[in-house]
Amino acid sequence: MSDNPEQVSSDNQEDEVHVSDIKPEDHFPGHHKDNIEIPISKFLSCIVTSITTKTAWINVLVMITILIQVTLRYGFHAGEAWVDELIWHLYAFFMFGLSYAITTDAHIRVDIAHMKFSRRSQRIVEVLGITLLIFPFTFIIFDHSIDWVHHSFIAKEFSENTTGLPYRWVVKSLLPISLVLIFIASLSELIKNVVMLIHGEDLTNYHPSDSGSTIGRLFAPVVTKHKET
Amino acid sequence: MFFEPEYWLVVAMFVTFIALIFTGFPVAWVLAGVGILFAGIGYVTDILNWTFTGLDYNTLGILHGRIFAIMKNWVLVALPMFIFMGLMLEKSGVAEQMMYSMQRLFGNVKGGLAITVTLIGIILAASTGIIGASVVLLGLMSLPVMLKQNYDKPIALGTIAASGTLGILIPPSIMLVIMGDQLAVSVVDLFMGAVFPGMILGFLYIVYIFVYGLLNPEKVPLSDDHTPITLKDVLRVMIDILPPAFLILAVLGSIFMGIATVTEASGIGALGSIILTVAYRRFSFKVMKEVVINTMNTAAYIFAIFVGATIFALVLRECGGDQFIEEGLNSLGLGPYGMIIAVLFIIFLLGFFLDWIEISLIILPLLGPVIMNLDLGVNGFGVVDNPELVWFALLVAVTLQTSFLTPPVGFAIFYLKGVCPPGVKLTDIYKGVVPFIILQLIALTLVFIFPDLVTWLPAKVYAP
Repeated sequence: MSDNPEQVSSDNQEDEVHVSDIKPEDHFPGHHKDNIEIPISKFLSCIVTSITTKTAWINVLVMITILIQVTLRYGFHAGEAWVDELIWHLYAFFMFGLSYAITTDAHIRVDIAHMKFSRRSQRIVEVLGITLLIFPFTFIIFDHSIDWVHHSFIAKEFSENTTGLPYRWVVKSLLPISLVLIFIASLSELIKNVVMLIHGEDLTNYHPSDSGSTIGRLFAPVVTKHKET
Repeated sequence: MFFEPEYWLVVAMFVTFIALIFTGFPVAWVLAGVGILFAGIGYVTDILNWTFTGLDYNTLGILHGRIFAIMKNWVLVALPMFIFMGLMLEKSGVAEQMMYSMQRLFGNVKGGLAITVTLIGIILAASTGIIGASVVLLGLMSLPVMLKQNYDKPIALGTIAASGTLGILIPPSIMLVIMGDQLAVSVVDLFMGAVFPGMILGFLYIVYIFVYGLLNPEKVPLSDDHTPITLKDVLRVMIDILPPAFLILAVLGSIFMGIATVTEASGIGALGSIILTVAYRRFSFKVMKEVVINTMNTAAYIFAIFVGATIFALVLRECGGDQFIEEGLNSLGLGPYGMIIAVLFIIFLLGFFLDWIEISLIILPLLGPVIMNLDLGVNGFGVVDNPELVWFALLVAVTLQTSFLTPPVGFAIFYLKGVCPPGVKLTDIYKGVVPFIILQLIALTLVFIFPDLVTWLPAKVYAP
C-alpha cells in the first residue's frame, strides 16, 4: 500500500492538521479557560491530577484482565471467579476520574444561559454550587461510607464466591478515597473562584509580591501566558 | 387523582433541578446536591407533620451501597472499554484511509462525497460509539474537501453532523449499554434491536443526499478532476474497509453469536483498536497516554451523572416520585400508544437542552415500570424477554439522535463548529441539520409502526 504515490500525498495532508491537535472542548461557547493560577489551588489540583493520571492506566489492566479471562474461558474452559472479580475491582477505579474531570472542567454543563453570564456571575455560580451542592453530598456519603468500609475490614469481608477475592474493604475504600479527591479538586476550584472574585478579573496592575506575607502569596493569582495541559 | 402532600416535594425537586442546571453548574453535581438538599427538606417537613417521607440522615446511609452497585456492575465495565476503543480508533487513521479511497469510488455521482461521509459515519458507528470523536473526525477529514469542491455549506455540514451521531445508535453503543442497565433488559437484545433502525437511518440519509443531488446538482458538484472508476479503485476500497470490518465482526459477531458477553467483546475491541493503530503506524506512547487519560475523563463525566442520578432517584423515590409519575401519566388517559407518543415527545423536547446521558439516566428508570405495565402487544416471537422494553428503549434511542442536532444545545453542532473553518456560520449548521432531524423523525415513525424492525433480529438469532 505504501508504494502508492497518492497514499503518500494523503499522509502529508494529515501532517498539517491532525485530529488529535484539536480539542473540541476549547471551542464550546461560554467555556472559559482561566489564564491565572493560584499557588494553593494549583497545589491542590496537582495532588488530584498526579494520582488520577496514574490510576487512569488501570483501564489498560482491565482490558488485559478481560483478555486473560476470555483466554481462560474459551481456551481452557476454566472460568475463575477471582478473575471476574478482579475485572470489576480494577474497573471501580473509574471513581477516581470524577475528580480529574473537575480539574479539566469536563463535567457536562447546560451552557445555554451560563454562556451569557458575566465572568463574575459564573464565578458566583461556581462558589455557591461547590459549597451548597458538592460539599454536602461528599461529606454525607463520606461519613456513611467510612463506617461501611470499617465494618467490612473488621468483619474480614470476603467475596460471595468461595473462589473469589478476599479483602473486600480494599475495593470498598475506593469510594471514600474518591470522595476525598472530589473534595480536594472542588476545593481547588473554590479557592480559585473566591480569590478571583475578591481581586476582580483585571490583573494588569497587580503583582503577586504585593500580597505581603508568605501565606498571602499562596493565595495570590499569577497570570500565566500558556496554559499547560 | 389523589394528590399526596409528598408530591409537592417531588414537583419542587424537579423544579429546583431544572432551575439549577440552567445556572450552568455541572448537571451531575446538581443532581447529587438537590437529592441531598431534599432529603433535608423532607426531614424537616416530616417533623412539621406536613409529609410522611421517612427521610433522615440514616436514609442516606444506603447511598454508598447504591454507588458501590455501579462500581461492581459487570455490564458497565464495557463502558470505559468501548470509550477506549473509540478514542483509540480515532487516532488510528483507519477513517482517513477509508475516506480517501471511497471518495474516488463515489467521485462520479452528484453528492458522492456526502454519501462517502455517510458511509464512513456508518462504519465508524459500528466500530465505536463516541459522538464527539466521530463528528470531529468526519468534520476534519471531509469538510475542507467538500468546501473546496464548492458544496453548499448547509448540506455538507448537515451530512457530517448527522452521520457522526449514528454512533450512539448503531452497536456497539455506550448509550445502549446504559439503557440496558437502567431498564434491566439484555444489552445484547438492544444491540441486535438497533441494527435495523440504525441501517434504516443510514439508508434514509443516503437516499436523501442522492435525491438532493439530482434536484440541486449545483449544490453538490463533482470534483474537477474526477476520473472514471477503475477496478483498482474498487479493490482499494475493499482493502481499506477490511481492517475496520474485521474489528466490527470480531466485536459484534462474537456478541451476536453468543460467543462472548458484551464486556468480553469490549475488551477484545479495545485490544483490536490498539492493533489497528499499531498496524497503521500511528501508535506511540504519547498516543496511548492521551487515549488512556481521555478515556478516564470521558468515562468520568458519564459516571458522575450516574452517581448524581442515583442520589437524586433515591430521594425522589422516598418522596413517592415513582407513583407520582405513574399516576400522572395514567391519569392523562392517553391509552398505551398515546402515552408512548407523549413520552417520546417529551424526550424530544428535553433533547433541545439535555443530552442522552441525563435523559437515559433520569427519565428511563422512572418510565421503565410504567411502560412495562402497558398493554402493548409487541411481538417478542416468544424468545425475546421484555420485547416492550426493548422496543421502547430503541424508540427512545432513535429519538435521542435528534438531541445531538437540535439547537441550541446540540452536541454534534458544537463539536462540528469547533473544527469548522472561520467562514462557516452556526446558522449554516442549523439550516443543514433540519432535513436530517426530519429524516430521524421518519425513522422513528417507522420503528413505532413496525416494532418487528426491532424484535425480529434478536428473535431470529435466539430461535432454536
